[in-house]
Amino acid sequence: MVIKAVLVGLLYWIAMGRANYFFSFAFRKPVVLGVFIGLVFGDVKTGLIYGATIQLMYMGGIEAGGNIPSDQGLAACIAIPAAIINSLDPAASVAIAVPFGVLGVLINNLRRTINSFYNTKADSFVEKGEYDKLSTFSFILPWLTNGVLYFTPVFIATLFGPSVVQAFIKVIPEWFMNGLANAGGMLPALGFALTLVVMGRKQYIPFFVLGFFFHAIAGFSMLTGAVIALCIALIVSMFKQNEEGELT
Amino acid sequence: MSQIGEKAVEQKSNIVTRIDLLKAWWKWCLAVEVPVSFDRMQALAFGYSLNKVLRKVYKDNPEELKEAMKRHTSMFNTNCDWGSLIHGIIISLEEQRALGNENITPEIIQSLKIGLMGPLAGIGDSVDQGIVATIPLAIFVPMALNGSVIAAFVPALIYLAWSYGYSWFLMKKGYSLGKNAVLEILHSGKIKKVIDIASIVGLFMIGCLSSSFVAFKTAAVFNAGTSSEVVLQDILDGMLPKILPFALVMGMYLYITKKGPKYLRIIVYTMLLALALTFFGII
Repeated sequence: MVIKAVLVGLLYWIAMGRANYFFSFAFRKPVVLGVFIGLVFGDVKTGLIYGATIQLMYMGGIEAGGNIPSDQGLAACIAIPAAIINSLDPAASVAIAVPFGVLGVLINNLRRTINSFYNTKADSFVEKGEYDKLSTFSFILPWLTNGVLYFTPVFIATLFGPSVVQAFIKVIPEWFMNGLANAGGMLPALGFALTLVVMGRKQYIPFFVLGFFFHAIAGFSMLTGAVIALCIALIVSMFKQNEEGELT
Repeated sequence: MSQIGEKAVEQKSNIVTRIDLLKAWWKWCLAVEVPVSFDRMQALAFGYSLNKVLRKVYKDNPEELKEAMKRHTSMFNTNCDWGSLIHGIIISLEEQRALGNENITPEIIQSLKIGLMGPLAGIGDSVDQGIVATIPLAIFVPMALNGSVIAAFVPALIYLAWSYGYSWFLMKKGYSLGKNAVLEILHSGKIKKVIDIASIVGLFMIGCLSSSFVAFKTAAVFNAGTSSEVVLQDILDGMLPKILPFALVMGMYLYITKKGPKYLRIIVYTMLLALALTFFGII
């Protein structure tokens, strides 16, 4: 169990330690983490199902300006091991994931506060012309600090968490579990709302409304949706070009 | 002939090689979000990326080097992928300055850096995360739910191919175009059109995704007098299908635009709302 806890802790570090940003961003998706956590616990299939179920909650996992609205990596690394060990049903794994997703935001804020220390150090190295040390304090050391910050909670949670979760699930009332699962259903709204804000084109909001109700009525596949969206966009840009042409 | 001659001269005056550029790009990708802090954001990652290059171009001028290091460990924050255009431009400008081009002042370098990071972050975050990372997830996660391990990795691979390829392309582009890159890339009509189309596709898809993935239904039932029951959800569906998820997304959107990005508060409110509504049997 200790080895498994170490491995899950390392997975979380890879996911949220953010060395090699593109890779860690792709790696921290619960659906991807689910496969690896499943591998650690010797059951890829089950891990995948939990991961994919939790992923549904983080479909619009956008991080505008590095602010994570919710830490999907922590949610996955704590909920999936607990779910595998206690063979919970997927909806219950979502209920566990929700609160830990929120806690992850606090770890990120702690990290960004601690990193200010490296800024101060960096200034003194620039002043003294010690540019190799500047490099060390700009990447390796903050990254190792991340390691401690991210590895520890997941290591402890994997070691003791699943039995605690089991005891917990026996005690807490059913409506509470259902409530958390319902919150899991509602929270994707935040990711999408955030994407709308980041896109920053108020005048284009009608396209969002159109997409929403088209899908609500017809319930087509996402690929179909993409084809329709592309056609609408091309038609609109055709008209726009004509308008601009008249102006010039 | 004369063109070839010109090219040879140009090459000779270049201090920064393709390998230097590649190393700077790799270091940026490696470090970008690692030393992020509240006060200076990605400042140290920017400095880390340019460290060796600056030392190479200002080899004979320690004072200028120190000034450049100060410049590039100051506040910086942008999108990791689209932002590498800035690195390309800045490396080219610092190189020109080191070679004795007096027209390129520290103010120009600094203002270009600050001026570009905002717009590029805006475009980058919405295209990268809103479209490239999200739409493949929406297509492949349902397959993963049915047990396909390959489907779990496809969205990640699409995102990786796009972000590594595109950021290296922009870094090279930024370096070769120098300060003209700004005008070239941001003001070219073609790019504007592409971004326009991408935005419309993105927003429409966010609509489809919201309808598909936001689950918010009422279970409330009223007794309408004599023995007949009225299911509230049926009434709502009759008015406008999925009106509750729609209201939820729009409500959060308005909250963020009015009150700022207070995500933690929104999440906590949503959880409390869900718990309360569940407790009273409304959802």
